[in-house]
Amino acid sequence: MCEMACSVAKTGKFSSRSSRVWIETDGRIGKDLPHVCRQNVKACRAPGSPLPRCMAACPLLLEPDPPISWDETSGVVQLRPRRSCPECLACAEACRFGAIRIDPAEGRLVKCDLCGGDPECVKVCVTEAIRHERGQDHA
Amino acid sequence: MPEGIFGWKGKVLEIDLSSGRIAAEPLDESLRTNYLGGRGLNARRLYDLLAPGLDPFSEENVVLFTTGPMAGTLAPGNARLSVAAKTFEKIHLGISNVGGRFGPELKFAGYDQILIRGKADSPVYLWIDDGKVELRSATHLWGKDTWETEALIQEELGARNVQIGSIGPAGENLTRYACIIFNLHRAAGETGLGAILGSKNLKAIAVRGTQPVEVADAEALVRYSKELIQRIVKNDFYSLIADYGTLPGATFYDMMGYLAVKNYGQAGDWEGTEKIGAVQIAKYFRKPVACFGCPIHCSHHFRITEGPFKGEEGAKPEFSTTQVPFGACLGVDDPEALLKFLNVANRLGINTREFPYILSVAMDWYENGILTIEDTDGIALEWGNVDAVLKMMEKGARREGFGEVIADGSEAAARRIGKGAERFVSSCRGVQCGGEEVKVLIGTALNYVTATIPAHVEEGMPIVEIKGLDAQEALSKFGTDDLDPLSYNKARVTAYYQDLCLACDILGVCKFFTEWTGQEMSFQELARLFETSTGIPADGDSIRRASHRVRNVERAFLVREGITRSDDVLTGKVTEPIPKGQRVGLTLDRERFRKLCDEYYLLRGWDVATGIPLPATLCDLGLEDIARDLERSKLKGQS
Repeated sequence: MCEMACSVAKTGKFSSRSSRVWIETDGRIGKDLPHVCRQNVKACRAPGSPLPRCMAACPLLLEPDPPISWDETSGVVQLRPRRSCPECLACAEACRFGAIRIDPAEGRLVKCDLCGGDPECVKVCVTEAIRHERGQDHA
Repeated sequence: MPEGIFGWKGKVLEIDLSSGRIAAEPLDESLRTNYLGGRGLNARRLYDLLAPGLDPFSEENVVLFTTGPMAGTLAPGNARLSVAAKTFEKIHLGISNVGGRFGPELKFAGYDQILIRGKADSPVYLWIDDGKVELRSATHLWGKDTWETEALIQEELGARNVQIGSIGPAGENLTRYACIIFNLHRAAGETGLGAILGSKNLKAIAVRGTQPVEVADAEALVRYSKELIQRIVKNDFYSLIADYGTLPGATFYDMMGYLAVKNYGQAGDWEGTEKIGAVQIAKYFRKPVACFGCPIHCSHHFRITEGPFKGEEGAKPEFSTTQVPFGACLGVDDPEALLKFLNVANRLGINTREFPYILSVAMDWYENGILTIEDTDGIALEWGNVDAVLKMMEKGARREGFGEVIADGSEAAARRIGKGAERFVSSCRGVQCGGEEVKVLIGTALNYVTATIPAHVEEGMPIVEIKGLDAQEALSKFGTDDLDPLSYNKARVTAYYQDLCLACDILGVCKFFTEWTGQEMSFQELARLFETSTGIPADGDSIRRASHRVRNVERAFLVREGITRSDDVLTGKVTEPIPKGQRVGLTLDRERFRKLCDEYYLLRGWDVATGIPLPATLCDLGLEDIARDLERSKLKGQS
């Protein structure tokens, strides 16, 4: 349901592959592995760097107006691939959580932006498997 | 509203296994507006495509896999996929549906329906990767169980995120209790559809889709779905099912005498029930599991950590697939054994209802000396013998030894054995009954004999006859508040829930979300979801009318195969007086049951003497062509 709520909010259509949060299921062992951006928690950081891996991997990070950046106020790692991004996929490859992916419908890189602070996925999750809160290990 | 098709993808994937031809065809507009989706589209397609009297194992038989117009959206419980084909004698119309993720994934791949005809020269599986579709060799998969098959296909395709439905040895060997297993633990279980795939040499279907589903009014659909989800989780029924699935049913059935124990040997009061109750089985639960788009998550992953079945993991043990058929019907009171049986059945591709019912008849034969240990390959078919059940599942799936005797069902086995064996069989249009003591559930008995799938509770057993309903609501809906299980005043209430269950199957929505179980959704909620999804105006009445239309197409299909009212009966042991437990000596009042059936046929607009839909009924639903067909075949029959 989170995938449907996310994709329709972001694209106006329903698609697991367009969702910014996605669940990988292994029925054999009964495990669901959620993939979603952790928004620069400690586990995101590149070794010896204050930056999350996705940002550290970006070749345009030091350019003005880089395609990936961290917004301190909202606590969101922002991806703006349309602006100056060569779509080299370095950020997607660097992410340990598989949180940056290509939306096949739009043909561009996408990731979770927390819906401006009120995530749609959280609103439909009746089991509270997804909650929105600031973790202790957030910067 | 923008132009185009919404809700549906408007495409049918047609596969001819004989020629290898693969084509994407448009889904006819009048088909989708009249038959909506799932089981509705399937019924009409099969009626149009298949000649009466067709051998189900012939190349001409067609198998359909169809989603609903809300599949792959946020609409609650949208995951049900309907499968259909011509099937075994007397059942004729093979129908089953399944949850999991396959249905929505098919939609994401761009199709509402897969239509399969012909027969492959050697085993194949179908791989649908969006618009790229191919038949691949399955020679190396033949003989493998469904879990091995899923793993091997995922490995071969190099992808875990592929949804797979496959048959096990039971389907390959054309047994009548063969089903199709999806996502390891979910079955299109009824009516032997696994055998139809087996006859076509089609081992599996794998699908991956990356395309979005577009609906007419996404904002309205999302808003309404969210509202429904809130209502659903606040409903009393939610927490029980979320924690235990349907498992609490067994204790209740046992207490009330609704449970048919050991081949109708007693009604309830079984000493084993408390050992296999909801709490006893839930001890093994690790985590709830949901179908795509489901807030109810009735399924649970389980693991056994010690004992002879240590390491066994699986999902979705249920009242009507585990506790009752393998427990009460076979006299097994060990919860770990029941979980093991469930896994073995899923791996072999065995229907967890009809197979154990057939085996319970065999155990009855054994107890009564009709079978001896020489007949059963040296296996003591005693009640509660866990090892015997495991061995018979293997043999039954592979037609080995005694497995060959039972592989074509209890009626065929009884004919083969002779010695008065047929007295122990309980049949409804050839389907072995079991589990529910229908002599004390009159509405359930009526549903058994009148539904398209014989002896199947999910066709619309009126659950209100066991759990009651507010008197005012009952009066306004059914014209009576007399819902006592033993009351014969059940025609309207049974027809009502049959209509609702069929509407769910047509729209691909899970029945657990509806008032059938006491949940929130009914015709008008389904209509609103349908309308926001497709953009086609609908209300509760129009959805119920579509359900009537589909029911009449299905009935006409059966009539064309020679089914009439005289086939809509229960025969054999189930009709004998209750021998033990509660309500000893009680039996069906034949005269009152006959009158109840009269009332039901009248209500349906079917001829009371023959059970054939009346021309006026068919014409009122826009089925003039079918009315003409039936009229012609009647004339032919007379000449």
